[in-house]
Amino acid sequence: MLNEGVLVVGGGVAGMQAAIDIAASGKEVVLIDKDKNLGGHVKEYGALFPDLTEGASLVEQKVRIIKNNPKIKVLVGTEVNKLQQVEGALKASFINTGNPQEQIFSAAVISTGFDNFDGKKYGEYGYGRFPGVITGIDFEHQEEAILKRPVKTAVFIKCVGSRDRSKGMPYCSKICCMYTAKQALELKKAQPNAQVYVFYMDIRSNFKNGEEFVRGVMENQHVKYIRGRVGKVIPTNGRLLIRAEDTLMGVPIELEADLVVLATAMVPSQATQSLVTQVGGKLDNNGFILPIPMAESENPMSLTKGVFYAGACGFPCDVKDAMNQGSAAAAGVLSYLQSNRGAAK
Amino acid sequence: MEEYQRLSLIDPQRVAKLPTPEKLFLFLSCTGSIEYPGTERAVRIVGEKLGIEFIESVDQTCCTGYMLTCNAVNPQLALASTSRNLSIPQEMGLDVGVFCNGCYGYLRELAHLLHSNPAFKEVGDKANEALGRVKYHGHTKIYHVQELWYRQLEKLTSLVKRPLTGLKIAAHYGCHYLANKDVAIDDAQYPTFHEEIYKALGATSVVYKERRACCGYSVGRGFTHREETVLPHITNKMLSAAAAGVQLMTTTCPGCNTALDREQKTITSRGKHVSIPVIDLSQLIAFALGAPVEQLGFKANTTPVLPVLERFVI
Repeated sequence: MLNEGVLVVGGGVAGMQAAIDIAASGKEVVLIDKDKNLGGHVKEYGALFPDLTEGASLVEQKVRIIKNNPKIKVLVGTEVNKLQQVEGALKASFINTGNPQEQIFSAAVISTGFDNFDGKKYGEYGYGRFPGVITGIDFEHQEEAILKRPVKTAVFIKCVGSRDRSKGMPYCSKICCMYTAKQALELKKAQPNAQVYVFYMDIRSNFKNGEEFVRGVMENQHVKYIRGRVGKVIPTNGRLLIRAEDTLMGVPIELEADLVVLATAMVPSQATQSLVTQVGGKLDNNGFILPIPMAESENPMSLTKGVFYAGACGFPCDVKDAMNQGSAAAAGVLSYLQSNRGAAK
Repeated sequence: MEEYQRLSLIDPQRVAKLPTPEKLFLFLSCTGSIEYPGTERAVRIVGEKLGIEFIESVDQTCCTGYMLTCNAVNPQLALASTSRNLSIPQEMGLDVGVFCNGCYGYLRELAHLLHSNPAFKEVGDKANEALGRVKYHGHTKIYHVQELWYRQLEKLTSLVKRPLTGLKIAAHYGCHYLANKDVAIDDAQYPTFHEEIYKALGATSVVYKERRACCGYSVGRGFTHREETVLPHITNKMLSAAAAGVQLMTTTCPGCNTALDREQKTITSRGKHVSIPVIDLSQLIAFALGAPVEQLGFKANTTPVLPVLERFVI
């Protein structure tokens, strides 16, 4: 018995894109998300780089397409707890509104996304202790309130978690340089008199128009980029004293701020590990999906037989890239189903 | 609620893993025993009250961290000395307790090098062989006494004879303990366990602005004698403590204690008056547990201690 249904685990932008593209060819798709709503992290984001589309409106557009396609069945508030290869097909067990269910699929896409690094792990910055210290994610979630609250000086600290081997994360989270520049721009636009500083290790704006965007924020908005790490944040006189080093000038510097934004890293989501190992895939040292060597796979998003992945469960990526990977995984699923049917006949 | 108590980053799992030994090898600290002999005595007194017997050995030498830091010796000497020093408690079948953050940091680090690199271990083995000692196998565990005190905080609380009610104490943790991120029981950048100990002793803890600033010992008094670099730094630290109303400061490292206590005289001589006694955490605990004051060696301090503590002596 050949069941042609496709399972997509994780309804963020990557998973939604994969579901849309697979269903467009007429295949049945079951899209499962553990959250109450589709859209993953992006639904809570404000403007997205590079064209400043609102995260919520992007998610709305995708959800509308999904709702209008009867081929896509959406199960939210549902967690897949088992996914196994069974005789050339995939058996998934999941709990939907308290009811355990099992279903056979012919292919699957894992798009379980990422978690946010816990800013509290840097005691020196006082996240969760000192009022006024927030993460970049908090900035996105509470954007309106933050932009309204008058700020004399704001400080953005990049690479909080990323590229720090002492915190077990040697990798670059890739998106923080861009979203920090974007948030600095938004703050400057809302409060032109605010002094905005960005402390950086390197500026990695390797996206289309990325370099120009960051340059614009520096040159047109006069956001001050300082190369160096912030050593400590110290609450003083109701403000936050920033103690840092300017490594280009080679001098220690101090400044007082009202708002400190930590660009925290993207870390692998917990759901990824168990799913990937159950279907016979592997994780890399950081806990992201270990890709098959390029010359050995037919599709860039292949994981194991009939299983593909997309988005930040593979490695930190921006929204556009997550959607690209969703589409690529969909193409992989479709060609796999086509060749599989050929083999069955 | 006090600032430090919000969101403690103390790792309860690491605390629970700490032993409550009956017998421990006491690794003596050069700086501690020379500068503030009362510290060593206080460690023994607190140990006795908690039921820990400390054994020492005349064979033990300096941890060599001192010389290693200022590149006075090549690392082989430090490795050989550590291997030899740690073979002493190994022979006694005891784990090691230290009361100096420096000894703690260097012993931990060098012991790690010894049992993770066969070539380094051989350096140690050869030295022990030449001295007719047994080989060091790398299984001796190293603890700082401050963590052992914290491990038995409840018992300590029940033993307090002189509650330090109203005494405003501030902590200076010192880098070389907390920097051992894989074993230290608290967060390196925002530690709070000393404040919990003060509370158990009935005292009030004060969070001052430069609480997390380094003592400057290595740069100033210790090795390089760069007074011009370090003095403004310590002045800043001590003045911020004074501004916060700190009456007493504690350390867990004789090096830190030396810098913070002795330099106050220099600071004052340059026109900024500051007088905050700085003592070891073990001295403070021993005092609160009722140890005779004359045994705690406060006379060794440059900044007088008794004016602050005397009112608690009945």
